[in-house]
Amino acid sequence: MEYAVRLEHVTKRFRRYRPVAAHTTLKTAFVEWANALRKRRNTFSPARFEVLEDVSFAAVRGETLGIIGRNGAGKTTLLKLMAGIYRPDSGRVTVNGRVAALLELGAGFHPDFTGRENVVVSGIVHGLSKREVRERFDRIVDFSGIGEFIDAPVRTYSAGMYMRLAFSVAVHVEPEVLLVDEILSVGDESFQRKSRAVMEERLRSGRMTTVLVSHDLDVIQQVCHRVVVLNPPTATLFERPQEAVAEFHRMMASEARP
Amino acid sequence: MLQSFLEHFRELYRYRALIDSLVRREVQARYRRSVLGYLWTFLNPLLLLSVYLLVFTRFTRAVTVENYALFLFVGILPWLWLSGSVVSGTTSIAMSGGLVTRVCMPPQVLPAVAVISNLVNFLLGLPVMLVAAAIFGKIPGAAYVWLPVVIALQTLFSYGIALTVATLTVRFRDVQFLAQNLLMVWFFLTPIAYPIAMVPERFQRLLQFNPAVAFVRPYQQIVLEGRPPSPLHLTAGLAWGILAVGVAVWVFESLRDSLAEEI
Repeated sequence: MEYAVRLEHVTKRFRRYRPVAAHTTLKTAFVEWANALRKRRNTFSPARFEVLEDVSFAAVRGETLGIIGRNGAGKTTLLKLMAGIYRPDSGRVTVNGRVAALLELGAGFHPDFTGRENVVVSGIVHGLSKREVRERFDRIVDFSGIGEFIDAPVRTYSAGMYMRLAFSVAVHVEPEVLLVDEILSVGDESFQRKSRAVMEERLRSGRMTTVLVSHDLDVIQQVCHRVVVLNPPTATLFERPQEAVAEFHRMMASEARP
Repeated sequence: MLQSFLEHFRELYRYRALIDSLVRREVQARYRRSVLGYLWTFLNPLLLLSVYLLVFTRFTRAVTVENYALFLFVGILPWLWLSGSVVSGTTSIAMSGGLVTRVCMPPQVLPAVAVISNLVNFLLGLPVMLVAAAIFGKIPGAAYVWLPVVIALQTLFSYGIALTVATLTVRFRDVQFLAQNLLMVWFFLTPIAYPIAMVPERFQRLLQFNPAVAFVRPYQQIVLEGRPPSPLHLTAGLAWGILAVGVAVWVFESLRDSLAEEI
């Protein structure tokens, strides 16, 4: 079996922010900074807490892997680790192929520039070459439905137009590994239908591996082959989405009990 | 150590397409919604120049140097590149608008963009400076072949400073304000508005420890004095450049893993 994304014993810690009063003097800040430099990232310090601890699972090439968990469970952190935006404190994350992360749309858009100019920069930001952007340009604009407004500065766009253009760039990057964070509901109904259709076509083609974070359990059950349930700081992989969703419900129910 | 140093620059090279498009955008964005547009590139130094001219030659007569306007111009142009790199460098990572937190790219791309876009502005001003020099009778000579060398050294140094302040600003926003104030001090400690010859001997020796001297003086030597930059400045420039980049890469690489989380 060929892995597209693989996490091996991944642990991720975040800094615990204390009340401002404990941090006000330059001296303490400097001392802490010097300590941090000396200790590097692999040592435990009480000022940090585990978001993920010893997490291991993998996404097989071509599959759609779902990730569910309650708010703040570390779903986005997991995606950022896969995208290489965060580095694990220990363990290893390996990715085969070009990754595109749809964490938030419009990263790198500049309001004063036209849609056309932003498409080019945004495409390059997502790892395309200039030529690849040129080749896809018409398709991107077509798909977004922006039309003649492509030559207007994006600050004049409506929120919907902005998101449609950003989403359109992102789906046309055609990555081998796509990391999606809760964004299948961009634009109006017709645009949503269109994006769902293109996503489904990609998923079916089997060339693309998708890791999907969502709170919509119906979507998860419909499109995912396997699902990871996050229960911080651990994660469990379920071979059947139904089992994962059932486990998730059990988890939520036990937490809701007084 | 050397390995991570080389990897640092290999990453920059791999992302050259991104650097290229961000620099283009940065240069265009600066004056995008202004009526005068690129003219501001020249109006900025011109305005500064007129004030110094007025204060130092009319109000006070503090400075005596031939063609003071030209002298100022030659010094201010590289200074604006250096200080511009520091100013836009400080916030380049901390306020990257999601580029570091949502996209996987080496963050050092951003201070590099800050330095290169200021370099582009410098290069746009350079022909104006050379024409002005010619008008004042300073005809370009053989010494001009040294310009690319001096520019290269300054690029190295500027990148080192910009990367350091960009990294530190993520953790301590104070650096950004500190930098603005220090730049003011730095400007007056650099022989830009006055010739270094006017400085008393004992201070002159101290001034040699100011890295900016090693980058500003060569332009004055090449353009105004028509001679190659002194080997002392070139050596100092190279040393400062290597030191700045060495420290910068070390600071950056040790804090790098936490950058995306801290922003």
